[in-house]
Order: sequence, then structure tokens, then C-alpha cells
Amino acid sequence: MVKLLSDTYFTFRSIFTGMGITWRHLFTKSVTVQYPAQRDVLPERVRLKLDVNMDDCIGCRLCERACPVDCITIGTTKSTDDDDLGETSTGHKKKLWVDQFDIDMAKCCYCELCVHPCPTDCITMVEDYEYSSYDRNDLILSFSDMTPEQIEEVQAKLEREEEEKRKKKEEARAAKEKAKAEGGKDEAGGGAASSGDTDADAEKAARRAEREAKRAARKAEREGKDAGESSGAAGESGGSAAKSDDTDADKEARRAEREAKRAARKAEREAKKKSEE
Amino acid sequence: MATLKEKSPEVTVTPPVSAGNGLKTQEMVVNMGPQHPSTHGVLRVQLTLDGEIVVSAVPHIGYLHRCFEKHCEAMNDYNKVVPYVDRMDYVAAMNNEHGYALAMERMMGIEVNDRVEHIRVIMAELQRIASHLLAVGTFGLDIGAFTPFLHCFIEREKILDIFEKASGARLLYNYIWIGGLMNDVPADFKKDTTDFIASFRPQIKELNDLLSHNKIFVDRTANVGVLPDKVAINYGVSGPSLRGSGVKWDLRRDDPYSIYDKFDFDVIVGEGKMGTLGDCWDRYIVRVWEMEESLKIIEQALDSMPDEGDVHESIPKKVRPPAGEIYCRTETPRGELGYYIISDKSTSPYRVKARAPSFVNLSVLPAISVGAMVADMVAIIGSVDIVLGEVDR
Amino acid sequence: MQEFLESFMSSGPLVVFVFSIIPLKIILVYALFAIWLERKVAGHMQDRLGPMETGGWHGWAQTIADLLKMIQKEDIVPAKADRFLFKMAPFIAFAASYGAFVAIPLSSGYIGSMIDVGVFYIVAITSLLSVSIIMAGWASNNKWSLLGAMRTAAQTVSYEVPTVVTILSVIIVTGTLNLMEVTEMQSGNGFLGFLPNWIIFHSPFMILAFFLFFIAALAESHRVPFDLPESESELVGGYQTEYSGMRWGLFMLTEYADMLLLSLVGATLFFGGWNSPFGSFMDGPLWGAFWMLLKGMVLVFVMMWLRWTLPRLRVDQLMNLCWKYLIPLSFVNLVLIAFWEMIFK
Ligand code: SF4
Ligand code: SF4
Repeated sequence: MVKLLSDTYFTFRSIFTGMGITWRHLFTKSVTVQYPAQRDVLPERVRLKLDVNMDDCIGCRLCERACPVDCITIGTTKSTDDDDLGETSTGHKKKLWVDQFDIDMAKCCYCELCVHPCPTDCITMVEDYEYSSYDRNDLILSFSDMTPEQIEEVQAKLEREEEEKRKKKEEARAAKEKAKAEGGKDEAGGGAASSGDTDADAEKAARRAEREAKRAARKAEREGKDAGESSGAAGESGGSAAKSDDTDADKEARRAEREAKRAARKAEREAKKKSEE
Repeated sequence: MATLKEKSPEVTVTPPVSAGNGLKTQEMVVNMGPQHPSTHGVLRVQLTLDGEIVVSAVPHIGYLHRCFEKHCEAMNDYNKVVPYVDRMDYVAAMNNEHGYALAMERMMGIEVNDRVEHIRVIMAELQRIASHLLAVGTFGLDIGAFTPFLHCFIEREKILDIFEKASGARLLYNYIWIGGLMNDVPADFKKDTTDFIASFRPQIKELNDLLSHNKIFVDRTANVGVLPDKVAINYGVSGPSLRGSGVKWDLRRDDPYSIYDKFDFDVIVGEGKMGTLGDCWDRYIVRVWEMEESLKIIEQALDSMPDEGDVHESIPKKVRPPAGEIYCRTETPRGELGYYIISDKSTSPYRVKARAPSFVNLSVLPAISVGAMVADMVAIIGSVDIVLGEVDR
Repeated sequence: MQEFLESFMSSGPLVVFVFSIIPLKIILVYALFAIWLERKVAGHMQDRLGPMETGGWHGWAQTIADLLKMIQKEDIVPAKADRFLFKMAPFIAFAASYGAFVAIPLSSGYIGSMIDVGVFYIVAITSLLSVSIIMAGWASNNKWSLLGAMRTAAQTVSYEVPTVVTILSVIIVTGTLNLMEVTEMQSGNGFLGFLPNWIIFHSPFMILAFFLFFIAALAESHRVPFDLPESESELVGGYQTEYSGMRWGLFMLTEYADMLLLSLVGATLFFGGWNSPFGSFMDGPLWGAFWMLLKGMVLVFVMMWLRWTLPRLRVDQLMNLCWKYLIPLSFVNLVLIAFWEMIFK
């Protein structure tokens, strides 16, 4: 009986204390922020969106390498001697054209691992959190301000320059050899190779380049396929998604192709260089 | 698609039995989850019910599996694992990072300076409070009390503000790095934290008044889901769920890591005050009082924290641990979180295995829920406090 | 009064129709208001604001917007459901609580029907609600719904007993089942001269009776801490799990209508119905309606207040509370009130 009464007392007391607390809260100031109208003051370190100051980027790819989800894609082209890309505000010499700098914010996990290694502090988190979109391709931020023509141009220029350089070197060598061969040898060897040693070297380099190119091409293919597959899977979940994925896949494939080409070119260049030496 | 047949334990439903009046009764199988408001994510519990009485409960997991361990192996840098560690127990990311950083530092023989240790401990304890707030809040929600849940969230929000100021993120911080911290704490960190402690102490009392000692709440949780200490130890349960059964086991005290041996705090254990030892209420109240203990630790740490010290001091240029393996365990809000890391001397981990406390704690569910009612099921799941991100990893 | 009603009844079917749907209008407007209020109360008790945007001032139009949304929603019936029962259930639920309003005197000038067995009628027709909930739970072909429905059956049947017994103890005092007469009896100043002549001040046991009635009413209208049929954290949504759109809206409406109904019955039985608390001051048919609704709303507010404070009981505890505490207590109380009545009257 006593237990029953004390229980009842305990019950009612706890219920009424509870009601007292909620009653008090009824009149305390609410903590809500009426969002579009009021905004919180965000601390300076907030990680909301990445921004790259392209004037300062030297294309060193450290950020790309630091990212755990591989959502940064950087493409660079070496600058030619006659182009002066200037210096960054931190005093680093810029040597590369950054023709592609894409960050896929849809993949980004906001870990900020990319921010810290940057030597010029040009990749930063900024206070912008209202960038949701209906299309996930809109979330790929492209920071490079180079137009395709410009990219084409600098690449062509680079090739031209390299060609010229090679030619110059060849000429120089040819001249040298000519001078050497003055004493009777009339054949100076128009080709790159003059001695057996260098010949073998060049061959090796060429083979390696070929291999590399092949590998790149294969990778591109694989990536393209992967993207295609994912688009196929997404296709089940809705036409629009499939569409966007398709373009995704296309893009991916194109990018891969570009990459492969670039790799092939690079390999070629290297081979040439090797053979020249 | 190849047909993937889920291998589920044989569900045995007894054939209909006569109830004696010409009617027949039969057990019924119900899936609680994966879309259920009270399974704290995407847990599926296969319940066999006799009316409302649970005859058997089989948890099915894996709906949130994200290949944590495989991801880690794919990373070409040990630092890149930290964001993935965050995502295991996403309500206590700081503790996860702390454990991982400690493991790596032990492996590489890195000593961090005192300031870093203090900041880490403060962050870890703040995170423990935040996590416990979430746990007790959602536990209240499971029992049907909505208001305490949001009151808890208000307090939790304050902690997240402190974290946001320090790291820039509110949930997944990537703040504690191998060998140091991402950033030093902001200038007003001490003040913020002290303010929080001052405002939070009365809130614990209010929570107790509003929820812990509410008669209905006590009735719903006392004597429910009793987990005897022996069973708990046999299942490898750890953390507040183990301490709720009266076992005084806290890695901060029994296997001190970081600088926990410097601080004076009590290990809270359940006492069976409202019912049987090891019931849901005990597990719940252990969490509530642990918040108080965490406050104590934070206060001491704030006092003894050196003002000088570079938090980047001992961050290695390249994380390349010597070949070997390590198991390092820490006490997260949910229990013993262990990392087993194998290094093959390269820059990417050969293997990272996490011993997730939620996963182990969840395994005790079938043992303690037989004979409970459906409503108790919810209370039991809530009181074991699992985070599915960690269970499934 | 009687004459007024009779004259009005004879003034043509259209007028009768307009007048007889007054409760419907009141319920609808009230439900819009009450849902908004509930959100506001919940919000502020949790240090939030609740709806703030729709309609401008403190989001007053939020419920209207929700209603419009619900009307537009697709009417989904689960494939394996018993279609007929599934579709009927919400209507029966609403009809049950709406039908009960007919016997409630909203003011001295308005009562839906002057039935002599008013209270009895209300108790009887509200039991239909449990039938509709069982229909909904069964027809949904969902195990959670079924569990919710079974709980409802047990709960409603059990809690009807204390409700009826406490009502009976009031009836001992009034000697009539007609709520209009019950209210009329409570006009004027009564006990000690300054307290209104309400039944709750009639004897100390009446306060207890009111408590019992209120607890039982909470259980009957399935509000926290007795909201087991829905209990969203256990049974997903209980009998409402499979409902969506306007059918779900009707269940919602029923819940709020039920709250008002039981509050109004409570106000009539214990707090003098449409009588002004200040004797003849602010009295009259329109003021009567005001007082009646105000009293009802106060009780509704208390229900909301409890909802946002308390956790939920378990089903066996619910039964315990009813059979072990409420029912014996209400019977004892009935006897005590009867004695009090014998001695003092
Ligand atoms: S924030 Fe993290 S995930 Fe995002 S781009 Fe930087 S490194 Fe990658
Ligand atoms: S680390 Fe900085 S400089 Fe280097 S590529 Fe990235 S953004 Fe450019």
C-alpha cells in the first residue's frame, strides 16, 4: 500500500516536473535560425565549397594526388620558351599551362586534404553553400579559363617548339658530324642514330613509349566501359539519370581519349628526345 | 545479374497451435526495418512474434556497407584513410580519428607534443558528449518522448559549433591527423568550451527531470532487456552497454592511451537502481552520467593545456611505417574501437581492420530480446546504441 | 430554449441543413487551427519556432497548405489490401466522431439534437471509432497495421469502462443524460458563492473523477502517452501505415476531432459547458459558444502539452493502468460520490 502510494506520488511528481520543464521551454527563446532570411555567421574555417585561384596555380598536381576520392582532375601542358606565364603571388614560377582543372563537388567529401599540400595556397574552401543543382554535371567545377582553342594552340605551339628544338639539335649535330667527318667520310648519317650504342637506346625508348601509349589507350577504354556500365545501371532508375550519365560516360571517354593521346604524344616526344641524344 | 541468394538463418515458425476454443494461433514473422523509424539507420531485425511477444530476433546487417577496409587498402597514403575512418561511426568521428592516429603513431614511433594530446583529448571528450546526447535523445524518441530529443540536439549543436570553429566541419572532421592536428584550435576555443561546460551542467539535470526519472520512462526501460554481466562479457560487449551491466571496464582507465592517465574521473557503472542490473535504464543512465565525467576531463584538460606548441610539429612528411602490424584500441562512445593495421613498408596500408564496437554490441541483441514485447525491442535497440555506419562499415 | 429549437426546426429543410453542419464547420476550422497550434506548441516547447513561412504571420496557413497537398495526392491502396474495407475505414472513423458532436450543446442556443440520452449516445457512437481502426488495420494487410489495430481494440474497450463509470458519477449528480440539461444545471453561482456552480466544484471526489475522466479520454483519443495504435517509433505508423493522401488526412482529422469531442464532453460535464465563469457576466448564446470552445481548447492544449512532455506507455502497462488503477478507483469514486450526494442533498 505504501509502495503504491509512493509510486503514485513519484509518478505524478515526475509528470508534473516534466510538464513544468516543457512549460518553461514554451517561453524560452527558440534557437531556430530562419534560414533564408537570417543566416548564421560561419566560422572562417568552414569547408563548404572548393575554389581555386587559377592565377596562382602552378599545376603541380599535389592537390590531385592528396584527394582520397579522386575528384580533382588536372590537365597541364608545358609552356614554350617564348611564353612567360609569370609568377604566382607567392613567388613560384609558373611553367605549365593548366588547361584542365575540374573538381567534381558531387564526389568531394569535403575533407580538405587537398587544401593543405598546395604550395601556393591557391586551392581553398570558400563560404558558399548554396550550389545544389538538378544536374550532377553542374557540380563539376571547371576552374581552368582556357578555351579549347587556346589549349589547342598551346599544345600545337609546344609541339612546334619541340619539333624545332629537335630540328635544331639535329642540325647542330649534323653540322658537328659534318665537321668531324670532314676528313673523308662523306656519309654523315641523316638519321638520328650514329653509333650502335645510341641506336639501341633509342630503340628501347621507342618501345617503352609504345608500351605506355598502349597502356594509356587500354586504360581509356576501360574507363569508358566503366562509365558506360554505370550509365547502364543508372538507366534503370530513370531516363534523365541515364542521360546525364551518358554524357558523363561520353565525357569520361573523351577525357580518357585525350589522356591517351597526350600520353602517346609524350611518349613519342620522349622517344624522339632519346633518339636525338 | 547472377542470382544472389541471401543466406538467412532458418526462420522457424511453429505450426499453428490450437488455442483451445476452436481457434488457432500462430507465430508471425515481422521485419523490423530496414525502413523503420527506430532501428537507428538501416538495421533489419527479423522478429518472430507471438502476439506482441518476441520469440526470436535476428539482426540482418549490411545495408550500409561501404567497403571501408577495402577502401583503405586502395588509398596510396595513410593520411587519406582518415576521411574514411570518420565515416564509420559518423556521430563520433573525432574518436575514430583519435584511435586511428594513435595506432599509426604507435606504429611509426611518433611522439606528439603535449598541446596536441590535450586538444585531442578535449575533442574526443566533447565528441563523447555529443554522441551520448544523440544516444540518449534518440533513446527517448524510441520510447516516445520527442521533446528531450530536441533538447539534446540543441546542446549537441553547441559542441558541433566548437568543432566547426576548429576544423571547419560539423560532422566528419578529418581533424586529428597522424602526428598532429589539421589546424590549431582557434583563439577563443578555451572560452567557448568553458561556456559550453557552464551551460551544459544544468541541462543534464533538466534531462534527468524530464526524461530519466519520468515514471513512464522508467517503467518502459527498467527490467527490460536485461544484460547480465557474464553474458555481456561473453559477447564481447564494450563501452556504456557493458558498464551498464555493472562491469567496471573503461579503456581510458584500464589501458590508458593518450594522456588519460593524467585525469581524474570516475568510471560510471550501472547499479540497477530502477530495476535489475543491466537493464535498458542502466545502460541509459550510464551514458547520462558519463557526460558529466567527460565534462570533468575536459575541465582538467583545459586547465593543464599548454598554450605553446605546434600542432604540425610531428606530422611526418611521408607516412611510411615500418613493415609490421599493430592493434590499437581506444574507448569510443560506443565501446572498444580497435584498429588492426598491417604495413608492408609502402605508403599504402596493406590491411586496415576495424573492430567496431557497434557491430559487436549488436550481436548481443538476440540474446537479450527474447521474451520482450515489440515496444521493448525498440527500447533494447536504442539502449545498445548502435550506429549502422559502424556496424556495416 | 426548447421552443427556440422547435421553431427553428420547423423553418425549412435548408436552414436545418445549414445549421446541422455547424459542427462540421467547427471541426474543420478547429482542426486547421489545432494542428497549427500543436505544431506551434511542439515547436516552442522544443525551443523551435514551428511553421513560420506559409501565410505570413507565424505560418498560420501551413495546415491549409498541407490540406491542399493531401487532397492532390494519389490515393494509394496496397495491392493486397482489402480494397473496400481499406477505403471505407477513414470515413467510418470520421463519421463516428462527427456523429458524436450532435449531442453536444455548443451554446445555449445550439445543440445538434436534443436527445435525452445524450451522454449515452456519445459513448456509444465513439466506440465505432475502434471498429474503423480495426478495419483499417486489418484491411491494410500489413503486420504493423494489424498490431496497431489489435492494440486499439484492447485499449478502446478497456478504457471505455473508466470513462463510462466516471461519466456515471456525474450523472448521479445531474440525474439526466441530456447534456443540455446538464449544462443548464450548472449555471449560476454555486458552492461558497464565488465559485461557479460547476460540477467539478461539487465535491472533492469530482476533482478525482475529472482526473480519471481526463486520463481515460486521453486513452480514448489515442494521444500520448496512450498513442499505442499509431506509436510511430514502434509500429511505424500503426493502423495508418499504409494510408496516404486524404484518407490519411481523415484519420488525422478524426484524431483532432476526437480530442475536441472529449474535451467538450469534459467541459460540459465538469466545467459548466457554455456557462460563463463569471455568473451572468458575458452570458448569452454567442458568449456561450465562446466559453464552450475556450474550455474545450484549454483541455485540448493540456493534451498537447502532455504529448510533448511524456514518453509512451507499453501495451501491458496501459492495460495495467486501466484495470488495476483506473477502473477500481473510478468505482470507488462512484460510490463515494453517491454517498456524498445522499448526505448533502
Ligand atoms: S576536399 Fe577532399 S574530397 Fe574534396 S577535393 Fe579536396 S581532397 Fe578531394
Ligand atoms: S596543389 Fe595548388 S598549385 Fe598545385 S595543382 Fe593543386 S591548386 Fe594548383
